[in-house]
Amino acid sequence: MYGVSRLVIATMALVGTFVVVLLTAAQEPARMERYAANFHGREIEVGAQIYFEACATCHGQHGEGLVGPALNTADLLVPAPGQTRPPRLLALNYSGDLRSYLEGTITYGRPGTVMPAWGQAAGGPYRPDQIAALVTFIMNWGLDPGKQWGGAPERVAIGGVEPVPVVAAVPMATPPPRNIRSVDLGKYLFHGPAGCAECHTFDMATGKTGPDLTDIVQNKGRDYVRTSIVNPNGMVAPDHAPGIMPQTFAFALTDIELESLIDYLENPTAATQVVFATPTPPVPLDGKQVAQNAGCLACHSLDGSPMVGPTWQGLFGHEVELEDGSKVIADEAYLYEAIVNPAAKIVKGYQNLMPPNYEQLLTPEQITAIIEYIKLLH
Amino acid sequence: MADIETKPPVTTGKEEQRAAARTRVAERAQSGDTPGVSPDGEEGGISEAARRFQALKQSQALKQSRKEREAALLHRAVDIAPRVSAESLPEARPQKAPSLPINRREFLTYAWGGALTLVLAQGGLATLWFAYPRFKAGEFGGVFTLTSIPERGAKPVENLQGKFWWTNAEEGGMIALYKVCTHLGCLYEWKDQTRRFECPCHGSKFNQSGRNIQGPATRDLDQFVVTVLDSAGNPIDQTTPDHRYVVAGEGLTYKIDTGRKIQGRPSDPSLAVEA
Amino acid sequence: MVGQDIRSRGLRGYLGAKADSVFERITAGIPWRDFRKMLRGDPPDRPNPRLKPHSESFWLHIKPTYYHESVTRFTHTFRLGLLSTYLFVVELITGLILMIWYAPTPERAYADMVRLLSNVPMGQFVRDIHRLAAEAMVIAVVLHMFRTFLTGSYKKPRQFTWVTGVVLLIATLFLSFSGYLLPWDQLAFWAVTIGTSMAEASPTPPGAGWIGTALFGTSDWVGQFVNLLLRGAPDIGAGGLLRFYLLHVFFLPLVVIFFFFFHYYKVVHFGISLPAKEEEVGQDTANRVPADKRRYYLMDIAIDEIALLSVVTFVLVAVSAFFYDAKLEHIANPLKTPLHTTAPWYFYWLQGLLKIGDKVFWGLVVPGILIVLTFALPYLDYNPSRRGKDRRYALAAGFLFASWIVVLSFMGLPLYAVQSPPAEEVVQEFMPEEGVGPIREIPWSELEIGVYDTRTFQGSVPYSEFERVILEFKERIAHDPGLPNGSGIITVEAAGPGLKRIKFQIDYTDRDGKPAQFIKTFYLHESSLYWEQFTF
Repeated sequence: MYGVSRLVIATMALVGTFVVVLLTAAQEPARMERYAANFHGREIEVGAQIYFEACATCHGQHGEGLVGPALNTADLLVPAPGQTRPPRLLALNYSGDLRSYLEGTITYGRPGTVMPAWGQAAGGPYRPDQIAALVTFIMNWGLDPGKQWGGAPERVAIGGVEPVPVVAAVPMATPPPRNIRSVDLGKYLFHGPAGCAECHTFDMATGKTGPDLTDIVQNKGRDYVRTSIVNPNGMVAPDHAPGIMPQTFAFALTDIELESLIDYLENPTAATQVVFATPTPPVPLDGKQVAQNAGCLACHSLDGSPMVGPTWQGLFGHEVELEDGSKVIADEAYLYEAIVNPAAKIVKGYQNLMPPNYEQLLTPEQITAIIEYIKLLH
Repeated sequence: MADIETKPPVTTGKEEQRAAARTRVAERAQSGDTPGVSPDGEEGGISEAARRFQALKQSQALKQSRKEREAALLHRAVDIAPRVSAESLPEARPQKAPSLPINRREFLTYAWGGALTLVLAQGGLATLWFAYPRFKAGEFGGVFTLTSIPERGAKPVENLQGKFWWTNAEEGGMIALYKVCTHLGCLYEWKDQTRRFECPCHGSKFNQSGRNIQGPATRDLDQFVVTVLDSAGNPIDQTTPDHRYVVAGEGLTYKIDTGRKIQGRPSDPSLAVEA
Repeated sequence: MVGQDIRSRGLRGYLGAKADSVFERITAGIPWRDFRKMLRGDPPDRPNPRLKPHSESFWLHIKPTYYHESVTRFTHTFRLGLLSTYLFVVELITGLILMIWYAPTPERAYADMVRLLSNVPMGQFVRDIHRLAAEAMVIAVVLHMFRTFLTGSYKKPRQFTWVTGVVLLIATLFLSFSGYLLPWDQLAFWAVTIGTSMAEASPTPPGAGWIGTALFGTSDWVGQFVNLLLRGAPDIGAGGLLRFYLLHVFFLPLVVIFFFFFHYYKVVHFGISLPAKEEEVGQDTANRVPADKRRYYLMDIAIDEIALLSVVTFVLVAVSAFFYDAKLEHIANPLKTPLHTTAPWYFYWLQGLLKIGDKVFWGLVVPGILIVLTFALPYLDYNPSRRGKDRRYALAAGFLFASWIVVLSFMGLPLYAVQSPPAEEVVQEFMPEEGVGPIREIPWSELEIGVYDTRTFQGSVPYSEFERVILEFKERIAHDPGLPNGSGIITVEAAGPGLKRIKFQIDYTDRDGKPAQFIKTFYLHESSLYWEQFTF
């Protein structure tokens, strides 16, 4: 009879469909977990690529912190016992979660330090999804904080091509002082904290992400070079794109550092020392420079003129009236407390606007240097 | 049409006519060819137009005879002879056609149809499963985790993302009050001066514990299910409709599930206030 | 009346008769008993009630009542037209479902895809079916066209049917292409960039330059105009994604549905063409079928169709569930084109043409001419015969054309002609920027930490998978003519919890005799599932 075998095949096919869909559905919850882990892993890989390109020079190959603070610590990444957020956020009294803290810091940078704004929202080169991947990579350290990973630290270059290493003479014992203009300082900054070497080459025919800088000062002049450091989008080289070079070097570098950098670009062979080693400078700090770098002088004047915060002129050793009417002497202890815990004592006539996190941002030596400097202002 | 027999003549003329018509149609149908739908008729001697006309009449007769068939099945013959016993007139009842046994092909068609229904039903369920939203922790509809609590009787803590007031009730215990007023859906506010919740839309008022004390609202504020975990992570308390305030303590972790809502109790008139 | 009926028939009889009349209305003319007879395979009554639905019901009115028995052999048409239509319906349904979880903006699109694959139950399954059926539909439509060509069914009186069919083919290809962009990953973004760049290269016909000068200020306006229309901006971005989405879910399906009804109405109107040897040359009796040659749709042909579609459904579902996984590469990066970027496979022939020479001539003019010729085929082919032996030239031309398309497609493959420098090619082969590659197929835990230098590496029998890959790497470098004195180092080290860094280094002598080095670094996490995600 026509069609009997075809109907059998058709019915079996539909029953087979039913069974296959049922099997797939049964495995779905496990598969979804596997795929969620898969995309999490892929995001970490993308974040790793970005970290080792752009962040490792300052934050370390293992996130242990060099110029920039340590990122692989339990203090930053692991929730405090009985809490849902890590200790560093609780100490800052930050209102959001860890991810928003990290994404915000990376996107907008830290004005007054060498940490540039990396996010496109603030003029930097990275898209929001790239920053999200970077944060996922950083938070991954929280699984095993503080550990040293991998072999000998080495800088991984962009595009698979290592910069040709500068010929070594004597390894640098300590980096040059930051408050004295020198070609060595420029070289230290170029290959180190300012991160120039990540994007610009010096010795090869074509630049990497940024234009090659061979003989740039000779060809274009100091003014051109200075302008393109402090306002990168103002002059974009042909075949390169705007919005990639960080915009915040104007805030990150002092005049001495800037001029040193240009000196180095002008005359690289004059540098006597070689690429940096891990710095912890025992050099006495210039308190004024530290205050400038930390952004104090944006709110506190040095000559008595009124600003957002009280002037430093004549501050030390004199009486200060607080908002509740009481009076205290501005001695070293008072100044130290005013820096690390500004909200404790508000000066009368001023508001509680000072950032509360200078204890995290500055080393004790730096705070001491500032206080020593304030003592000098009569 | 072979299964409908012509009936023996009955008393009235109507029946006669119907019977005669039936016979005519049966004869015509058995002799003629399949009318079919194709407008192009067969090759033959009579003209195209005449053939078409014939077909038309046949189909009309077909309609007619189907109506009659229906009539025969559904309606009792109007003028059946009264007072005749049922047994003596078996022909008066419509005859049943001989039943068709199920053969293999028909059975397989039903089997295939059953399989298709199964697959379609499965597809429908799978689509619903696919489409149903899943909420992440920290998203409204998901679970919010809090570890700190306000003081008892103090101003509740507003949770914007979760759309609830985190309250340490005067009555004793923690409650997560849904921000939407139980009257018509506006967001009520906490008033410091009167230390209670008041809704700006129609004036419904609720006390610090979420009980309705005045206004067009007819029930207390709705709340979310809260699960309490101790410092080791073991669950020690949970909101239910009979146990609406969970234990308030330090060092505990509270998980507020904004995907599970418990409706407020109907208003207690003993709590009502004047203004 | 009702009461009397119940008393005369009994309640069961009355309800049964009522049900039967409802049933007859639903089937548009077949009462229950005749329906059963149809299912049983009994010959129909006279008059045949199975013809009624073809004139009275909506669903069946477009289907022919009967076919000539010669055209019902499976091998006459392979039911490819039915298959194409069914696959389109599958696409409509799966596409509609997928729309629940996808929004066409660059900020969301990729994240929506990730969510679909990892946080929506049956999400991967539905997406895989959607992609698989799309590719199958392109194949089915092309095979259908080829079959129609072989049987000469495009000749008089069916020329216009062929024309509507070519429109449907083009619409199918563009439906596939527009959907390609929607995942917003590297594959999607760059494949569509290539495609729309060809639109940008459209030449302005001589004599039409004045339009451009008047409207846009430039006489070479056509390419720019088409490009901006398609992309909504000079480069693909939010505008392009939205426009492609609208093309994909609205405009092109409307075109398909409209032209499908046009096409199928004509097919039924003329009837499926008979095998050529059963008719005189130039004769077409497909829609005048003698009674003894008729095979009715209900129920025999319907059973054939039911069987075919059930089996096709099962194949789609089984292949999606067990073998096929539609891939998702990294998120679209407008600043970086990955190596080995390709067009979708059904456009390989186009990419092959582009590699021959000038992109305007080979990328636009030649395909344009081919399309016009395809449309015009029935009007150019004046040979009235459908028989093979009368059409030798036409058939030869057809096969030649088909083989040219295959050759061009092969030329369009990334292996042919688009080569990076040799060291980069070697690394791309072992660990591609997008995709799997031999290294990623090795289980993560088996990638032992260490430095593996091809100059000194031995490995030990029996070789583990990783050791075998290292030896392959060694062989590959040794036999590459572009890498004289070449050697390689693979370094595997830990880079974080569950994360490994894999560094490739190739040292060789460059063309000037100087030592050169190529380094590329990758990261691999233990949970990433490349081998599962990138099947074919």
